[in-house]
Amino acid sequence: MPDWLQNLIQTLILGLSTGAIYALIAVGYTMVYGVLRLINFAHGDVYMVGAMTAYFVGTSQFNVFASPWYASVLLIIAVGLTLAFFGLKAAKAPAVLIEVVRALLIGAAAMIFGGLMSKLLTVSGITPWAKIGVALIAAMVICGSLGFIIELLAYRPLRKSPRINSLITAIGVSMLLMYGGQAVFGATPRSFPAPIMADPFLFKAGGISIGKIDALIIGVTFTLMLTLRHIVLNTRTGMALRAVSFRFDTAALMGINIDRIISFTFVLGSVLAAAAGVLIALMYPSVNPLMGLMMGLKAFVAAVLGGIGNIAGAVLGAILLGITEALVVTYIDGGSQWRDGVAFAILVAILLLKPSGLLGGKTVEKV
Amino acid sequence: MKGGGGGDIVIGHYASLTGSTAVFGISADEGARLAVDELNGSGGVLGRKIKLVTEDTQSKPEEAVTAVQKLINQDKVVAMLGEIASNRSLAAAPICQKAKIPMLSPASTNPKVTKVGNYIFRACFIDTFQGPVMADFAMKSVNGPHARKLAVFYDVKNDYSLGLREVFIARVKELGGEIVADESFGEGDVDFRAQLNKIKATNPDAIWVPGYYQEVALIAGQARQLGITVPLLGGDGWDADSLAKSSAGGIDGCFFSNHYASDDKSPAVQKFISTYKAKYNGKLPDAMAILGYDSMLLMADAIKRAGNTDGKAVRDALAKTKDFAGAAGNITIDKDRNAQKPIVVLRVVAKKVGDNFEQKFQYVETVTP
Amino acid sequence: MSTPSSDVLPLLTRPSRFAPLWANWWIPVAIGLLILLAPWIEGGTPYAGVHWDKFWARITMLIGINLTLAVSLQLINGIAGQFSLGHAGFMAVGAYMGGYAVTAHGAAAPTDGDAVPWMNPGGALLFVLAVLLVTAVSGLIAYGLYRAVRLLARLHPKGPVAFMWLLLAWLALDVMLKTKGVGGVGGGPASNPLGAINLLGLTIKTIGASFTFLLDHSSPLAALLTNSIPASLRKPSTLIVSLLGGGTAAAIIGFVVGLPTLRLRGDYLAIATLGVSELIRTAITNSEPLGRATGFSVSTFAVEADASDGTLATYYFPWVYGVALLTILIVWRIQHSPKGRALQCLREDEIASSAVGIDVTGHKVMAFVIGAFLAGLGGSLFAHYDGYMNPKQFDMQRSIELVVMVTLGGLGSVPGTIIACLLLTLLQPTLQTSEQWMPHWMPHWTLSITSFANQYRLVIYAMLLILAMLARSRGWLNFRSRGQATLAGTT
Repeated sequence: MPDWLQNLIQTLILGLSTGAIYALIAVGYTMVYGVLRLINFAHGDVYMVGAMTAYFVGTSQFNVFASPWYASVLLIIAVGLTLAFFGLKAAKAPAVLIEVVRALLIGAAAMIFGGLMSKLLTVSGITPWAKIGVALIAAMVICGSLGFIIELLAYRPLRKSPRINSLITAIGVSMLLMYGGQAVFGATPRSFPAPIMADPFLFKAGGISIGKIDALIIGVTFTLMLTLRHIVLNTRTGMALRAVSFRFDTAALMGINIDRIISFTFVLGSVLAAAAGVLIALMYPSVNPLMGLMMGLKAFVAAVLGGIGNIAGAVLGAILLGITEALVVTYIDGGSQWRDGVAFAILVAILLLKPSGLLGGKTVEKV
Repeated sequence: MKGGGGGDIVIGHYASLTGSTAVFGISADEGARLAVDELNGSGGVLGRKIKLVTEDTQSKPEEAVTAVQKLINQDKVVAMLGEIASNRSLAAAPICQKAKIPMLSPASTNPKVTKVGNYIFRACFIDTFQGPVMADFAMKSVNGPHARKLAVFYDVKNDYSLGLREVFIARVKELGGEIVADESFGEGDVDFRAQLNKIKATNPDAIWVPGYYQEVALIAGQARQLGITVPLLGGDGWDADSLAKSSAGGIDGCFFSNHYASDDKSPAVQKFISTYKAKYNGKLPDAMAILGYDSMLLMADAIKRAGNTDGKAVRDALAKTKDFAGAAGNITIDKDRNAQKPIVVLRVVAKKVGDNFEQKFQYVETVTP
Repeated sequence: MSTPSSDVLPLLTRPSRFAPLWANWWIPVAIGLLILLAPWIEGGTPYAGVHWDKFWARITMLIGINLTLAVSLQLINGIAGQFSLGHAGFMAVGAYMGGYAVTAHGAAAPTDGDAVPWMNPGGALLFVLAVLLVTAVSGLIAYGLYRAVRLLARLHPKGPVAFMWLLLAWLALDVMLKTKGVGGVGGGPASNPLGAINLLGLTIKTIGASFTFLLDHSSPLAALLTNSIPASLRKPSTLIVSLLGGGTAAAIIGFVVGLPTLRLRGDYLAIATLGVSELIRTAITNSEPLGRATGFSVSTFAVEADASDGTLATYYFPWVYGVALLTILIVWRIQHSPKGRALQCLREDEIASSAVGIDVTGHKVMAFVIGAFLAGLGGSLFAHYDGYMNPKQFDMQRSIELVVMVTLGGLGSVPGTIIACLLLTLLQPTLQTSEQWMPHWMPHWTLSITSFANQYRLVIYAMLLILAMLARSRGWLNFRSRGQATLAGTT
């Protein structure tokens, strides 16, 4: 094989692998948007919480009853109660109180679960991969309940408000998670305890190599996409989900419990974000509280590129974005300086030329 | 509280306690506080205790200016320590210069910083020394005497990295070497494989990665994954204890220049390390900690030599510093108010221990200016 | 899910006249007073004995600059209802433009024996003109291209998409050929495979080159302009040129960006503006003359020459608050003019507005361009005050801080924004200096609370933002417009 072809193939593989990473997060964005027409800015930060949780559980430092965790639980309860108070005022419904108490209980239970998992891992003789598995489960549980709480306390009271209000709230939630994360986890980047592999390659020949984790991520991404498609297209919940995303009030008239469906979407999206956090941390073993920002933005670009609201579109968009970045870096002199610029240029261009994205059906410019 | 009369001598320190370079700011502050404890323990300076007031800059230039204004006008400091990053020092230095408060930066290596004015000093070597030292090292010592083809991989969003890139390239060209690749990444990136793949195609003898440790560790790991076996070279921004873990051992065999070597057997270094560990729960000091410590001691020494806390007198005393025995080597302040001090080249050794990696910095050589 | 609001009607049927100027007499009076107090606040020479220190003087100045930025964002986000997340981008354009004009072209070499370089407003003006022309022409070309692509849709609905795929194919082909060493299709040098980028760069270079005759700050033309201004007025006129240059550059970019993006609505617009501001930042990070990440030191002689103790504020204070006053007045007048009511109509309901004959795009673009211009002014003021800037200062966090001010002040409420801006800018220094103002009889833990609050200020901002949306979506400080028809969503 000539050198140039080898190089091109390797570049495409790298792009594909980066794209699969963006896709893991983009899918969550797109699901929430599809149902709620809300750009969930905080999604990137939920991914961060997933990775951080996995770090602390995996290294057995997730001790809910010791400081600073103890402080963070208090912080979360304080935040929750304040939000609950105002949310209650906004919704003017006593039923919300019960929901709020439920949310807090779920949050507390998730934290305690995380603590137990963390404790479990102090037992000797657990293989690194098993540790990662346990950490992954804890991260998924905690992020799932986080998504549930965020939706319940921050987004649900605003469902009838203009979209801008929800967007501002989403920005607020994102800031809260980022800077609250700095307060709780500390700003220091931490080395994720990625298991060491004797042979990290799945395939290696000449100038072309594919890492095992790359393959894992690509595989997980496609499996997820297919599973999600299956859920959306072939299950009762999926049908309800489509109905809600098609038309809110009519779906309610058909007897669909909208709140439940939306909560389900958020929980699912957040669980996926947690899984993405752990997978990505295996690949790039350094985690910090601000890691969600750039990754979240890139994933968002990918989701818009593919047509936001469309799950297959998000994956396509992510892979195109990853490959474009790799090509720009490889084949343009000084291209690496423009790597982020390219992503944002794609975002602006696609919003101008075809806001509904590559696979998006109808135009979003409803007037 | 006020600085005048017979009360405490108030010294200001503006440091990035939060934000993107929080790790460095916190280390420097811990180092400086250790020095204050030691000074006060031995009776203070000029018979007075030293009080260190630290303000956070949030890793942002405009906050550095605000912090310095606060320290000068509210806390009435007589001397200023800070900042680690050159961009913050550049933003705040004019304020100190105009207020005639001597400012001593522990670790801003950009040459522009001390050019702001005659009240601005630094306690570390400058990029125009550090870069060429590593360029010489790359040309002579790496891969035998024939390392002629070098690649550069720098952080485009980081002024420190940009400065080191320039001086390195200039020096390599001067020595007759060839820069085969000049690629960049951005602070906070996690994926570097596309750039590394491009660098790999040019077959360099070594790669110059002047960046901060967080990205460097990931770069090293991904470079090894892509089959790049040549050593990576870097500057003092590499100094951290997470290199081996975050790079999954990929950092093994790479070299960087630093302010001191922790395996240095000299009593000053060993004493510093043991007291630092005792004070901060066994945390191993990094270069920023020892620089913060040295800066504080140097400032106290200058005040002692000046005999009073008048800004001009302290400035003159600082400017006359000669062979001051700091923990990280002797410091002589030259006519451009830069510290003339030796640089050490370290080799990173990463060993797999069980399911984890342990790292050690191995002393390679010392270069004196 | 925004329901068409029945509040549009009263807005439209209200008598369409300017509110009398004296209706808001307190704004000019308050700011006039502040300007009068300038020498008292800084330095203290005219009023011996009363001395504000430089720390608080700095905070005062930052409040002035933030006022300009926040109120101009209020025009876009609150009054016009076009949610922008990219204000920092316009600020950056203004700052770099203004700073560069003065530093590189506003200074002439000092004449013999004089250490202070002469002000050269002529040079700065020529530079500003040259840059503006280049920006305008390239912007027009870009917009023309964009229109052309949009027009393809008339030929065939899939036209624009097909064009994009073609473009992609072209690039792919380029890459293939490049890797074989053949060179680019675009006809550029083989080192750059993307003919498209070559073409663009070449166009900008050509346009730029044709205006280089304007760029020379020591040219006879510049000298002529400078000499026609009396020496005593050279400093202020250099500053004015730099401020207006920064503002206009931002306005032009706002126009070029706004015209197409304002078609997008709500959250899409927010994301597009965010993307544009990140693009601007990437461009600055990659620009050698602007100092890349090392930052750019502005020669602040234009503002500092008269301050013997080295502080800028005595001279600069009226400038900062003058611009802030101007901004508040402009935004206030726009809000209460027929155009302003049209904007508020648009915000409530676009369909209804266009049905009653309001030029939707025109009004949106107007608000966007004016907002960008004022943000550029604010940026330029900032550049001259700090004298140092760095692309990192204009990141998303800065935009969001401004959005927080606007949102807490109440979307659509100028007085609310002013108060929010004041409070939020004062929050940090107040917490920082708590050791000094906290009475001694207070228990020690109150200090720990203030220092904790200071450290996690951003968490507090975030909470305020969420709570504001949940409890008072008109903003915490929005007192005036409570009884009026304002935001949709409160219905």
